Amino acid sequence: MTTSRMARNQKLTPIIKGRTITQVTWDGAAAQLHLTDGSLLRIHTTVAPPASAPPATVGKVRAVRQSLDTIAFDLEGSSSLQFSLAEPTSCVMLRDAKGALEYAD
Amino acid sequence: MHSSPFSRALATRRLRTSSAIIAGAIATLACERAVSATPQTPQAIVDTASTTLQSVVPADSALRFPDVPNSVRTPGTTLDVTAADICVSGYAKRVRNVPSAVKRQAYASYGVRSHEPGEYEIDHLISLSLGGSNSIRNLWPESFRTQPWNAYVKDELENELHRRVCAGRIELAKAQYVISHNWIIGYRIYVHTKPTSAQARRKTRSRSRRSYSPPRSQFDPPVP
Repeated sequence: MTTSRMARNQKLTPIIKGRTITQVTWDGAAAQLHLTDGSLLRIHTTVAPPASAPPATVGKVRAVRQSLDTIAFDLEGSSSLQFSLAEPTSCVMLRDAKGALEYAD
Repeated sequence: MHSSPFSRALATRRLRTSSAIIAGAIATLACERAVSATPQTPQAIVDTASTTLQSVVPADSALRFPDVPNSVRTPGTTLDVTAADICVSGYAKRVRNVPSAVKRQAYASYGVRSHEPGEYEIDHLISLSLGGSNSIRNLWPESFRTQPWNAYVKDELENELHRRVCAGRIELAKAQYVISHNWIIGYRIYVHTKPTSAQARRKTRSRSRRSYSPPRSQFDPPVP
Protein backbone atom coordinates (compact mmCIF):
# COMPACT_ATOMS: atom_id res chain seq x y z
CA MET A 1 0.00 0.00 0.00
CA THR A 2 1.38 3.41 -0.93
CA THR A 3 1.76 5.93 1.86
CA SER A 4 -0.48 8.37 0.01
CA ARG A 5 -3.46 6.04 0.60
CA MET A 6 -2.76 5.53 4.27
CA ALA A 7 -4.51 7.69 6.79
CA ARG A 8 -2.54 9.92 9.10
CA ASN A 9 -2.14 8.55 12.63
CA GLN A 10 -3.71 11.49 14.43
CA LYS A 11 -2.49 10.45 17.84
CA LEU A 12 1.15 9.57 17.13
CA THR A 13 1.91 12.30 14.59
CA PRO A 14 1.72 15.27 16.97
CA ILE A 15 3.74 13.33 19.55
CA ILE A 16 6.65 12.47 17.25
CA LYS A 17 6.50 15.25 14.63
CA GLY A 18 9.73 17.24 14.56
CA ARG A 19 11.76 14.56 16.31
CA THR A 20 14.62 12.89 14.47
CA ILE A 21 15.17 9.19 13.90
CA THR A 22 18.92 8.55 14.05
CA GLN A 23 19.10 4.77 13.79
CA VAL A 24 16.97 1.67 13.20
CA THR A 25 18.02 -1.56 14.91
CA TRP A 26 16.32 -4.94 15.08
CA ASP A 27 15.40 -7.22 17.95
CA GLY A 28 14.17 -10.26 16.09
CA ALA A 29 11.19 -9.03 14.06
CA ALA A 30 10.81 -5.91 16.22
CA ALA A 31 12.18 -2.71 14.70
CA GLN A 32 13.63 -0.24 17.19
CA LEU A 33 13.72 3.38 16.06
CA HIS A 34 16.18 5.43 18.10
CA LEU A 35 15.47 9.16 18.35
CA THR A 36 17.92 11.95 19.15
CA ASP A 37 16.21 12.77 22.44
CA GLY A 38 16.83 9.24 23.71
CA SER A 39 13.32 7.98 23.18
CA LEU A 40 12.69 4.61 21.58
CA LEU A 41 9.91 3.58 19.21
CA ARG A 42 9.40 -0.17 19.01
CA ILE A 43 7.44 -1.71 16.14
CA HIS A 44 6.46 -5.38 15.85
CA THR A 45 6.79 -6.25 12.19
CA THR A 46 6.05 -9.35 10.17
CA VAL A 47 9.67 -10.32 9.60
CA ALA A 48 13.12 -8.88 10.17
CA PRO A 49 15.00 -7.72 7.07
CA PRO A 50 17.92 -9.83 5.86
CA ALA A 51 21.36 -9.00 7.17
CA SER A 52 22.37 -7.82 3.71
CA ALA A 53 19.60 -5.20 3.59
CA PRO A 54 20.81 -1.58 3.29
CA PRO A 55 20.55 0.73 6.32
CA ALA A 56 17.11 2.16 6.89
CA THR A 57 16.37 5.73 5.94
CA VAL A 58 16.56 8.15 8.88
CA GLY A 59 15.70 11.80 9.41
CA LYS A 60 13.27 14.26 10.98
CA VAL A 61 9.68 13.07 11.13
CA ARG A 62 6.99 15.13 9.41
CA ALA A 63 4.04 12.79 9.89
CA VAL A 64 3.03 9.21 10.61
CA ARG A 65 0.61 7.32 8.39
CA GLN A 66 -0.87 3.97 9.22
CA SER A 67 -3.14 1.33 7.76
CA LEU A 68 -4.15 -2.07 9.12
CA ASP A 69 -0.92 -3.68 7.90
CA THR A 70 1.61 -0.86 7.42
CA ILE A 71 3.05 2.08 9.26
CA ALA A 72 5.04 4.78 7.48
CA PHE A 73 7.06 7.70 8.78
CA ASP A 74 7.16 10.62 6.35
CA LEU A 75 10.56 12.28 6.76
CA GLU A 76 11.88 15.66 5.71
CA GLY A 77 13.18 15.58 2.17
CA SER A 78 10.21 13.55 0.92
CA SER A 79 11.69 10.25 2.04
CA SER A 80 9.71 7.68 3.96
CA LEU A 81 10.44 4.85 6.38
CA GLN A 82 7.91 2.05 6.15
CA PHE A 83 7.24 -1.16 8.08
CA SER A 84 4.79 -4.04 7.69
CA LEU A 85 2.90 -4.52 10.94
CA ALA A 86 2.55 -7.94 12.57
CA GLU A 87 -1.15 -7.17 13.21
CA PRO A 88 -3.52 -4.18 12.85
CA THR A 89 -3.07 -3.05 16.45
CA SER A 90 -0.81 -3.49 19.47
CA CYS A 91 2.40 -3.27 17.46
CA VAL A 92 3.75 0.22 18.13
CA MET A 93 5.05 1.63 21.40
CA LEU A 94 6.99 4.81 22.13
CA ARG A 95 8.85 5.38 25.37
CA ASP A 96 10.85 8.46 26.28
CA ALA A 97 14.46 8.52 27.45
CA LYS A 98 13.36 7.77 31.01
CA GLY A 99 11.22 4.84 29.93
CA ALA A 100 7.88 6.56 30.43
CA LEU A 101 5.21 5.48 27.99
CA GLU A 102 4.35 8.17 25.43
CA TYR A 103 2.20 6.20 22.99
CA ALA A 104 0.90 2.68 22.48
CA ASP A 105 -0.98 1.31 19.52
CA MET B 1 -95.35 6.36 27.67
CA HIS B 2 -93.74 8.21 30.49
CA SER B 3 -90.97 6.43 32.54
CA SER B 4 -90.38 7.23 36.19
CA PRO B 5 -87.35 9.30 37.29
CA PHE B 6 -86.01 6.24 39.08
CA SER B 7 -86.16 4.05 36.02
CA ARG B 8 -84.57 6.79 33.91
CA ALA B 9 -81.71 7.11 36.41
CA LEU B 10 -81.26 3.36 36.47
CA ALA B 11 -81.17 3.19 32.67
CA THR B 12 -78.61 5.98 32.54
CA ARG B 13 -76.49 4.24 35.13
CA ARG B 14 -76.65 0.97 33.19
CA LEU B 15 -75.70 2.78 30.00
CA ARG B 16 -72.70 4.39 31.63
CA THR B 17 -71.54 1.06 33.07
CA SER B 18 -71.87 -0.65 29.71
CA SER B 19 -69.95 2.13 28.03
CA ALA B 20 -67.17 1.84 30.58
CA ILE B 21 -66.93 -1.90 30.06
CA ILE B 22 -66.82 -1.50 26.30
CA ALA B 23 -64.25 1.27 26.52
CA GLY B 24 -62.08 -0.86 28.80
CA ALA B 25 -62.28 -3.79 26.41
CA ILE B 26 -61.31 -1.58 23.49
CA ALA B 27 -58.35 -0.17 25.45
CA THR B 28 -57.19 -3.67 26.38
CA LEU B 29 -57.34 -4.80 22.78
CA ALA B 30 -55.44 -1.70 21.70
CA CYS B 31 -52.68 -2.31 24.25
CA GLU B 32 -52.32 -5.94 23.24
CA ARG B 33 -52.14 -4.94 19.60
CA ALA B 34 -49.53 -2.29 20.40
CA VAL B 35 -47.44 -4.80 22.33
CA SER B 36 -47.66 -7.43 19.61
CA ALA B 37 -46.84 -4.80 16.99
CA THR B 38 -43.59 -3.95 18.74
CA PRO B 39 -41.99 -7.27 19.61
CA GLN B 40 -38.86 -5.60 20.94
CA THR B 41 -40.70 -4.21 23.97
CA PRO B 42 -39.87 -5.96 27.23
CA GLN B 43 -43.46 -6.95 27.94
CA ALA B 44 -43.78 -8.86 24.69
CA ILE B 45 -40.51 -10.63 25.30
CA VAL B 46 -41.34 -11.54 28.89
CA ASP B 47 -44.78 -12.83 28.00
CA THR B 48 -43.71 -15.03 25.11
CA ALA B 49 -42.49 -18.53 25.73
CA SER B 50 -38.79 -19.25 25.27
CA THR B 51 -39.53 -21.06 22.02
CA THR B 52 -41.03 -17.92 20.54
CA LEU B 53 -38.23 -15.71 21.86
CA GLN B 54 -36.13 -16.70 18.88
CA SER B 55 -38.70 -15.34 16.50
CA VAL B 56 -39.25 -12.13 18.46
CA VAL B 57 -35.66 -11.08 19.11
CA PRO B 58 -33.27 -10.69 16.15
CA ALA B 59 -30.51 -13.26 16.00
CA ASP B 60 -27.79 -10.72 16.61
CA SER B 61 -29.62 -8.76 19.30
CA ALA B 62 -27.76 -7.82 22.46
CA LEU B 63 -30.50 -9.61 24.41
CA ARG B 64 -29.21 -12.95 23.13
CA PHE B 65 -25.66 -12.18 24.05
CA PRO B 66 -23.56 -14.00 26.59
CA ASP B 67 -22.28 -12.05 29.56
CA VAL B 68 -18.71 -13.28 29.11
CA PRO B 69 -16.81 -13.55 25.81
CA ASN B 70 -15.78 -16.69 23.98
CA SER B 71 -12.48 -17.66 25.59
CA VAL B 72 -11.02 -19.00 22.34
CA ARG B 73 -12.03 -16.02 20.26
CA THR B 74 -11.26 -13.46 22.98
CA PRO B 75 -8.66 -14.84 25.38
CA GLY B 76 -7.51 -11.35 26.39
CA THR B 77 -4.15 -9.80 25.52
CA THR B 78 -2.01 -7.10 27.05
CA LEU B 79 0.47 -4.45 26.10
CA ASP B 80 4.03 -4.65 27.36
CA VAL B 81 3.32 -2.27 30.25
CA THR B 82 3.81 -2.30 33.99
CA ALA B 83 1.82 -1.10 36.96
CA ALA B 84 4.00 2.01 36.94
CA ASP B 85 2.80 2.74 33.41
CA ILE B 86 -0.91 2.24 33.97
CA CYS B 87 -0.99 4.14 37.25
CA VAL B 88 0.16 7.37 35.61
CA SER B 89 -2.70 9.81 35.24
CA GLY B 90 -3.90 9.91 31.64
CA TYR B 91 -2.36 6.58 30.71
CA ALA B 92 -5.35 5.33 28.70
CA LYS B 93 -5.35 8.50 26.59
CA ARG B 94 -1.91 7.58 25.31
CA VAL B 95 -3.29 4.41 23.77
CA ARG B 96 -4.61 4.69 20.26
CA ASN B 97 -8.34 4.34 19.68
CA VAL B 98 -9.47 1.03 18.21
CA PRO B 99 -9.68 1.43 14.41
CA SER B 100 -13.18 1.19 12.98
CA ALA B 101 -12.17 -1.74 10.80
CA VAL B 102 -11.06 -3.70 13.85
CA LYS B 103 -14.36 -2.91 15.62
CA ARG B 104 -16.26 -4.23 12.62
CA GLN B 105 -14.11 -7.34 12.70
CA ALA B 106 -14.97 -7.85 16.37
CA TYR B 107 -18.71 -7.56 15.67
CA ALA B 108 -18.43 -9.92 12.74
CA SER B 109 -16.50 -12.54 14.70
CA TYR B 110 -19.43 -12.75 17.14
CA GLY B 111 -22.06 -12.82 14.41
CA VAL B 112 -23.43 -9.35 15.08
CA ARG B 113 -24.60 -8.24 11.67
CA SER B 114 -26.32 -5.08 12.79
CA HIS B 115 -26.87 -3.20 15.98
CA GLU B 116 -28.56 -0.11 17.27
CA PRO B 117 -26.79 2.79 18.96
CA GLY B 118 -26.32 2.05 22.62
CA GLU B 119 -26.86 -1.68 22.25
CA TYR B 120 -23.23 -2.80 22.51
CA GLU B 121 -19.79 -1.50 23.09
CA ILE B 122 -16.59 -3.03 21.75
CA ASP B 123 -15.13 -3.87 25.12
CA HIS B 124 -11.51 -4.51 25.99
CA LEU B 125 -11.75 -7.75 27.95
CA ILE B 126 -8.61 -6.74 29.78
CA SER B 127 -9.34 -3.04 30.08
CA LEU B 128 -6.90 -0.40 28.90
CA SER B 129 -6.63 0.74 32.51
CA LEU B 130 -5.22 -2.71 33.34
CA GLY B 131 -2.80 -2.76 30.42
CA GLY B 132 -5.09 -4.47 27.94
CA SER B 133 -4.32 -4.15 24.25
CA ASN B 134 -6.30 -3.18 21.15
CA SER B 135 -5.70 -6.60 19.63
CA ILE B 136 -8.77 -8.34 18.16
CA ARG B 137 -8.06 -11.10 20.68
CA ASN B 138 -8.86 -8.66 23.48
CA LEU B 139 -12.02 -7.20 21.98
CA TRP B 140 -15.65 -8.35 22.04
CA PRO B 141 -19.09 -6.79 21.64
CA GLU B 142 -20.47 -6.42 25.14
CA SER B 143 -24.10 -5.65 25.76
CA PHE B 144 -25.31 -2.62 27.65
CA ARG B 145 -28.78 -4.12 27.96
CA THR B 146 -28.48 -7.56 29.52
CA GLN B 147 -29.36 -7.74 33.20
CA PRO B 148 -27.86 -7.90 35.71
CA TRP B 149 -24.47 -8.31 33.99
CA ASN B 150 -23.57 -5.76 31.36
CA ALA B 151 -20.92 -3.31 30.24
CA TYR B 152 -21.68 -0.83 33.02
CA VAL B 153 -21.17 -3.46 35.68
CA LYS B 154 -17.88 -4.61 34.15
CA ASP B 155 -16.69 -1.00 34.24
CA GLU B 156 -17.04 -1.11 38.03
CA LEU B 157 -14.77 -4.12 38.23
CA GLU B 158 -12.23 -2.49 35.92
CA ASN B 159 -12.15 0.63 38.07
CA GLU B 160 -11.88 -1.35 41.32
CA LEU B 161 -9.06 -3.54 40.05
CA HIS B 162 -7.22 -0.49 38.73
CA ARG B 163 -7.51 1.15 42.14
CA ARG B 164 -6.21 -1.96 43.87
CA VAL B 165 -3.28 -2.33 41.48
CA CYS B 166 -2.25 1.29 41.92
CA ALA B 167 -2.62 0.98 45.69
CA GLY B 168 -0.33 -2.02 45.66
CA ARG B 169 -3.06 -4.33 46.98
CA ILE B 170 -3.02 -6.67 43.99
CA GLU B 171 -0.46 -7.43 41.34
CA LEU B 172 -1.19 -6.27 37.80
CA ALA B 173 -0.81 -9.78 36.41
CA LYS B 174 -3.37 -11.12 38.86
CA ALA B 175 -5.83 -8.35 38.05
CA GLN B 176 -5.43 -9.12 34.35
CA TYR B 177 -6.04 -12.80 35.05
CA VAL B 178 -9.15 -12.11 37.13
CA ILE B 179 -10.80 -9.93 34.55
CA SER B 180 -9.89 -12.08 31.56
CA HIS B 181 -10.90 -15.49 32.90
CA ASN B 182 -14.34 -14.63 34.27
CA TRP B 183 -15.10 -11.03 35.04
CA ILE B 184 -18.40 -11.89 36.70
CA ILE B 185 -16.68 -14.03 39.30
CA GLY B 186 -14.14 -11.26 39.70
CA TYR B 187 -16.94 -8.78 40.32
CA ARG B 188 -18.43 -10.97 43.01
CA ILE B 189 -15.08 -11.25 44.73
CA TYR B 190 -13.76 -7.72 44.44
CA VAL B 191 -16.80 -5.48 44.14
CA HIS B 192 -20.05 -7.01 45.41
CA THR B 193 -21.85 -10.32 45.51
CA LYS B 194 -24.30 -9.03 42.92
CA PRO B 195 -24.88 -5.75 41.18
CA THR B 196 -27.85 -3.74 42.34
CA SER B 197 -30.34 -2.66 39.74
CA ALA B 198 -29.05 0.89 40.07
CA GLN B 199 -25.49 -0.25 39.50
CA ALA B 200 -26.52 -2.36 36.55
CA ARG B 201 -28.20 0.57 34.85
CA ARG B 202 -25.80 3.33 35.85
CA LYS B 203 -24.05 5.14 33.07
CA THR B 204 -20.38 5.09 34.10
CA ARG B 205 -19.28 6.84 30.93
CA SER B 206 -21.07 9.51 28.96
CA ARG B 207 -22.88 7.49 26.33
CA SER B 208 -26.41 7.56 24.95
CA ARG B 209 -28.53 4.44 25.13
CA ARG B 210 -32.12 3.29 24.97
CA SER B 211 -34.00 3.86 28.21
CA TYR B 212 -35.77 0.59 28.87
CA SER B 213 -35.04 -2.35 31.12
CA PRO B 214 -34.76 -5.64 29.23
CA PRO B 215 -35.40 -8.99 30.88
CA ARG B 216 -32.62 -11.12 32.31
CA SER B 217 -30.12 -12.47 29.88
CA GLN B 218 -30.89 -15.99 28.76
CA PHE B 219 -27.21 -16.83 29.06
CA ASP B 220 -25.96 -17.76 32.50
CA PRO B 221 -22.34 -17.18 33.43
CA PRO B 222 -20.20 -20.29 33.64
CA VAL B 223 -20.27 -22.00 37.01
CA PRO B 224 -16.83 -21.66 38.61
